[in-house]
Amino acid sequence: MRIGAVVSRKDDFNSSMDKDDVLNKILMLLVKALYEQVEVIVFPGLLGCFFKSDREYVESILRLSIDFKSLIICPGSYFETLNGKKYHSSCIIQNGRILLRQRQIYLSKWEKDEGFSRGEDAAFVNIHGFKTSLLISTDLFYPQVSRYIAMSGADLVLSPAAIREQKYCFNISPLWENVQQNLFFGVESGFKGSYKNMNFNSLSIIHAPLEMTERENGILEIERNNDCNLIVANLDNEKRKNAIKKFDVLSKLNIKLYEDMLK
Amino acid sequence: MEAGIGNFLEMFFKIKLSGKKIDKHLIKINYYKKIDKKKDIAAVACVQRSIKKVKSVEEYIDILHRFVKEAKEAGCDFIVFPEYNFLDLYGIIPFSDKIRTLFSKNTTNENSKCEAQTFDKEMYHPNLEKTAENKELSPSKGEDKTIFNILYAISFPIQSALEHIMCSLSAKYDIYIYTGTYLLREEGKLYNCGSLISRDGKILGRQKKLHLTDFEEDMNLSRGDKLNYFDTDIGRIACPICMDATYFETFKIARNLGCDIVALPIANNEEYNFYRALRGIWPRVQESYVYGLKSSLNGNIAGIKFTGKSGIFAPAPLTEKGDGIVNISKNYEGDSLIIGCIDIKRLKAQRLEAEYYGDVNENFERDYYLKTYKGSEKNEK
Repeated sequence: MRIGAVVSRKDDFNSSMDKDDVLNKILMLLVKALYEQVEVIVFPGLLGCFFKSDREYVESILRLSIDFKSLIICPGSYFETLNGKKYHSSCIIQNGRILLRQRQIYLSKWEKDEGFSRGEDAAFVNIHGFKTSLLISTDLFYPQVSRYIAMSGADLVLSPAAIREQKYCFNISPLWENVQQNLFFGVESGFKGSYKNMNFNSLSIIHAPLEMTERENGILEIERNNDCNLIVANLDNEKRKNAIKKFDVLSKLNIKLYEDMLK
Repeated sequence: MEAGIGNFLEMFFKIKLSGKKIDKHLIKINYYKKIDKKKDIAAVACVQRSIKKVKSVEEYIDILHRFVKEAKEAGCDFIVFPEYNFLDLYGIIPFSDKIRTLFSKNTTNENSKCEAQTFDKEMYHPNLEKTAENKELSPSKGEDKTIFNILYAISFPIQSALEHIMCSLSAKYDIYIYTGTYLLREEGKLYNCGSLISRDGKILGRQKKLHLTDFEEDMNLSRGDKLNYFDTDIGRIACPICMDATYFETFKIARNLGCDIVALPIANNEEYNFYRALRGIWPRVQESYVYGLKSSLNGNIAGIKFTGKSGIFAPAPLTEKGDGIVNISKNYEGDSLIIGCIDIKRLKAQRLEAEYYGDVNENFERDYYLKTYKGSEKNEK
């Protein structure tokens, strides 16, 4: 499966932009994805926050998606309001339909300060034979979420990310850690810029178990210092399964040991 | 015949590694004067050392002593030795070179894939049947049986000697010592295990390895079922082993137990790869907000090469360059002692400030164990 992650440069998307400007940028990226024969595209975290409401944003993407029938779109993340509660959420869309909805399960300090609520479970959808789930921003830092996703049999995790002032050590993001200890594919699209006077700096990276990557670094593709606004990689699930045979982390779990871990 | 060889080797090692011989050699070391230990910042040391086949226990003591002395002279409160810290004693086995030649055909060059994957494959039998309560282990192949019996026979004398040496050094130097690992013989089983020793030379406790490598499973080593914690005057410490750091669960449990420091002995029998090394203790420290102390065994024995960097790790905001590294060895081979400071007070303050740490989701976590791990137990090795 061919997958793409949008690379945002600092303030590519910002609150001073008109919503039509944002939609035009998204449209251009969808066209580019189609040209690159991408089957799944992931947009950065917080993208929907530049719209008046989550509903307006999601409906706009749903309309756009009808013109890109075969393309599966994760439109980044947005703030969902429901019954007086606010969630940091994302979804997966294809051809005018929402295939999967996900709410962030854990909260960062700033999200707690802003009064966000937590999602309660992880959802899954089958995309071209890949069992797929979403891991939104803060959940990247809570490895129990990705372990649950992996133990549910996920092959692929899409991650719209917006991490505050994250300094990347050795080009390693929290998703890298989650991929290497669970051995699914991980695709993150990172937001760079400011929102409500907070600075965010996340990278866009396509991850795989390091046994199957050319340089044994666990990275299939990563954003570079150029003008490219979409990174693309082919995800070979058979190759991943062979890599797992070389280093099958999950087969060595000491399950009885974990019984009281989260009690 | 096999039992005879085992009995002979056990007796041989008991004599070669006797307490009397150890005491006679250690008596030459002077005591250090004790000082008040109440302080927020502690200095710690992680040994990185090459295996050196020794011909006597005195030679082995000298190797260990050199590191402890250097750590103490640098003002350290705690020193950590690596996984399989006894392989040097392989040299004491009579005709060990001939044994190696005899069984070299059984050695496969299995690549290890993680923080750990160990060790001298010639010393172990790959196809042992589990004998939970039976103290007489009986592998099937004649030549491999000999190898296993060597290992089984020498495990207890080696553990006794290693603990005896380290207890004496701890007391003499007034320093906490993690012994590095040895093979623990218990109710007919063998465990990869290490001991933590107090400043006054008492064993605070032992920790068995909780997640085994393929090779260790093939050798029929058993795994532990509990993570212990140890209270010291520099903080609460957990001592998982090597492969245990591949699993976030180990460090999550350590934090639940209130640990601030995790000591991790490793022995990687593979060519060094930066990213492979990075998927062990480093991310676990970032996730769990503890200090991580990694001690690596290096060098060659019986045709097996070990590589790895010892290092001291902390949550990224606590480190000078923001990279999560307090100090790390420059090389992945050879001897060195990695020294650094850990500040538990600052660590605790940082946990409160951390943007992405410490949240709890009761609804998600309520049935976590059942929904995550149940169903995979049948696949558990």
